[in-house]
Amino acid sequence: MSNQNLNQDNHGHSDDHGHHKETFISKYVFSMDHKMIAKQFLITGIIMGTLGMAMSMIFRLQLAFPDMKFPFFEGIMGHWGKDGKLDPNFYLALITIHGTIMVFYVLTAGLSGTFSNLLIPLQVGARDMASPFLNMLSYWFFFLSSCVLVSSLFVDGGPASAGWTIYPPLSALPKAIPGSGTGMTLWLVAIILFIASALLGGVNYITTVLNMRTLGMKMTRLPLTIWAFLVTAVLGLLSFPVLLGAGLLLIFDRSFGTSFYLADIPADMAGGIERVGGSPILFQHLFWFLGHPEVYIILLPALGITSEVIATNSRKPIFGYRAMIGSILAIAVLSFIVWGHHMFITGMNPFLGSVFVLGTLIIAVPSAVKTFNYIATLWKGNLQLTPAMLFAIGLVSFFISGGLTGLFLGNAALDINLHDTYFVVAHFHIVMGSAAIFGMMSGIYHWFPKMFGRMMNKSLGYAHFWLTFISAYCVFFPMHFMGLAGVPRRYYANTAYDQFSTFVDMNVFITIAALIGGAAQLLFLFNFFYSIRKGKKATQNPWNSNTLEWTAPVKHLHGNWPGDIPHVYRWPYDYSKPGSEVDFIPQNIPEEGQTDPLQEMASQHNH
Amino acid sequence: MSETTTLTNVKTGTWGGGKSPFSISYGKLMMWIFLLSDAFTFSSLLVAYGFIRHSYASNLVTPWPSPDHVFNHFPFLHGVHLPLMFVSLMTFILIFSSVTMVLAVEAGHRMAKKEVGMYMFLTILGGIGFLSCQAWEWTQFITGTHEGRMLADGSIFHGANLQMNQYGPTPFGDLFFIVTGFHGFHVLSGVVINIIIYLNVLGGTYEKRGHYEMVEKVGLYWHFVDLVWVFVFTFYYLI
Amino acid sequence: MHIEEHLEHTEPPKDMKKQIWKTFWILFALTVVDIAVYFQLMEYHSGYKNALFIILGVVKAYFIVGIFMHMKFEKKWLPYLIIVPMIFVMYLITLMVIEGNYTSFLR
Repeated sequence: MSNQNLNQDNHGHSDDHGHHKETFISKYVFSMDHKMIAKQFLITGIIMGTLGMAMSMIFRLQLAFPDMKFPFFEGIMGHWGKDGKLDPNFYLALITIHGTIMVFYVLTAGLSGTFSNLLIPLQVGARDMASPFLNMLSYWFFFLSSCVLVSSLFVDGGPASAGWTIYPPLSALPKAIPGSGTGMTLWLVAIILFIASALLGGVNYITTVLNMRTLGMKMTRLPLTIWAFLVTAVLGLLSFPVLLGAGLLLIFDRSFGTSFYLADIPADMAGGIERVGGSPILFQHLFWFLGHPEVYIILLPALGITSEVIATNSRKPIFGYRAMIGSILAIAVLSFIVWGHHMFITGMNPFLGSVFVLGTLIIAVPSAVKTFNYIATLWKGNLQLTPAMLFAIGLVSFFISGGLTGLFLGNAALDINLHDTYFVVAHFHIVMGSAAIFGMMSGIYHWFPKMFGRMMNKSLGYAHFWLTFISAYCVFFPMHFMGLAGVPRRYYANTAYDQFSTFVDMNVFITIAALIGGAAQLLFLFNFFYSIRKGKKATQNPWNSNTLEWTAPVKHLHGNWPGDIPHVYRWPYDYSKPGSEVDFIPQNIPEEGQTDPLQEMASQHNH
Repeated sequence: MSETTTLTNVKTGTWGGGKSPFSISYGKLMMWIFLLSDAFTFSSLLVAYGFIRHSYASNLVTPWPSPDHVFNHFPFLHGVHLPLMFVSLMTFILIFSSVTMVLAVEAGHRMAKKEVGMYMFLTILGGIGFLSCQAWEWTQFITGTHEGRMLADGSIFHGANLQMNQYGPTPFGDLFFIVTGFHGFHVLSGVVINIIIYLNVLGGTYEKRGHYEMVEKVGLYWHFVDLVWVFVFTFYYLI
Repeated sequence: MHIEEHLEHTEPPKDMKKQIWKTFWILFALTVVDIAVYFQLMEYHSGYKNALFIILGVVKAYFIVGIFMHMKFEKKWLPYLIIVPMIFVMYLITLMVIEGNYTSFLR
């Protein structure tokens, strides 16, 4: 009997997995198995992502053809698209919900929820999460939250329309704009449920990584994916509570007549109660104390996945493993102290502004370390250009080109010009949106065999990659120029200003590229769902990878490994090791002369 | 099984895997991590308090009130100016209930079921006592004093609600309600959880399980509530 | 074995009961000091007085977390895990106090 079996016994995962009968409900719906919960997160995320993308198509059509009528608008949006014209208020609602869905539901829950759940127990060598029950609860809170958000699309007045950052007073006064009513309330309810989900998940991920690693899995032998998920969970755990506090105060402002975020609002505008004494800047600070770490909650899992995929498919050890861990930690720490760079022009203290500029520009250092390491890993590698690998390289490309514009925006002085223009839109859609989506896609293509036991179609994967990659650049790159010329974001139409008429053609170009990019995702959706049922059967280790998840059988077991959990003897990046016959040595293969990790440690102690 | 004994005699590295680097169970680690995130929730409320209070630093029209002019009542001592006394009493009640809680944990280590039950009971009493005190204080705060505050239209406003209060600027009352209310909500949920655990102790659940770790976990939560009160007391009543 | 192992480490020192009561009296005394300072310096408003109150609060927190919550008897990594992130809270509070004062200055 080895140590970790007893470890597992403590919460009811003994070796007798498979003996108890699983009903349909307990297997597919209220499952406590981390692999099934991962699939639930992924599929919910994909559905939400499709919805968010469809919204972006609608408002892109509006931006490119502000004078044209699209009869199908009325069909899908009812009175919000009367006579084929998009209602201006609903335009605001669409961009708000698009942002919310993409940031929270797709790239937080859909990305880190999916892959943390799938990979943490499998890659650290645990039978399941520390608390499978809380893990299940985490998914169901997320599901409930998704339902509330989607239902807000159908309420009177439309969904929340204050932008995904929901600044007061638009969000604090129910009468401010149509979307500030019930829609905003539902948005807040959805986000609070989402925070509950994120916290339950985060507590579980951290505990599992710290407490449940298999014998020999030192922290310095963890795959970089796990490091990224661990740090992501820490970020979420420390930043989401602040949004919870901020949201609580906002709910009080909305519903109970308090004035935390409202300064000098006359009674007739605020439901009969004069609001004095609060400060909307306070909300922005609290929001961005979450909001900035949130960027890295989105990005770090994608970077972790990329590290793994690039190393495996370059058949080379990752370059600078410890530097990678260090840069993840540095990014995490810095992400907590730079939130104010979103607020340079709000009228906050200029002294604090300079503090935030300094911190923001320092983030470039660990980010550059990471990109350098990716490129150095690719350098002279034996590249296996699988779809996953292409998406991972795509991420590196986006991370560089989007990161560079971050340097502009991080300067308080330049930000005066660029704030709230399309430059910002371009920046974060490239560095956060596209890069993270590419990381997610890379992960899906890479771990699809692990999740569903089948392979995705390669040719469709290539078509998906190239169409998405090219169209993403075509959509977001021209936006930089619009932003530099001062075209403001979040405007329903720019027809009122003569100086923006030069961008009419560019807007049409962007929209066409966006439509092509959207169509490319249909290829992915087809490939994904088709391959679940009909894809080629996967072998146990299709990518010849070193990490522990590929030592588990293709068919999912409750408890992951049929016998004992494998022990770990080496780091996960022993690819093409000189002197070795095979080009990969999985982590559970002992070094020469080793029989048990315990012995190795004992000998270290004797030294 | 002889292998087990030989292997466990080997001193493994703290972070070498196969065991908890902190030598605590996953449940307790989870509780710690949850408390860490909950500390951030409370901090965000206290940050809001700090921000808004400091934004009144140079406001001479409606200055931030001094706590000794607001929280100066004591039950059965009507009209006597006793600032801070009642809230100090509340602090002592909460600290004392923390002591009984930790005594329950200590008794749990000795598997002394009767003692655990007794101390848990005292802890619950302390929690209920604190909540009762808070109810009285809220009532006092809401009803206000006889003087009240003269409004612009000549009428006199007594006490406080979320929209207005007689003591000072609106956010003063709002923050009082939200900060102490959120803390009180934690105390309330702590009392409810304590009652459940208490019933389990009496039912012998942990006796059968062989350890009283559950009592330790709720104990952590209870001490955290006490900890938060220390800072609420400092920031809201003392400063 | 896992359970035994964990109990072995969280086993409190032999004189735990004594320590608990000692801690109680320390907390009691610190709160009395709070009150005494409060009444003595009622008309004296300064940052030093506030700093004193905050320091007393932190000392109380140290005893609650250390003794009551057993942190002192845990392995050293747990304190790091829990205490170090509080730096971010302190950073946030410091900045927001500065920002609050600036808001006051602007009004």
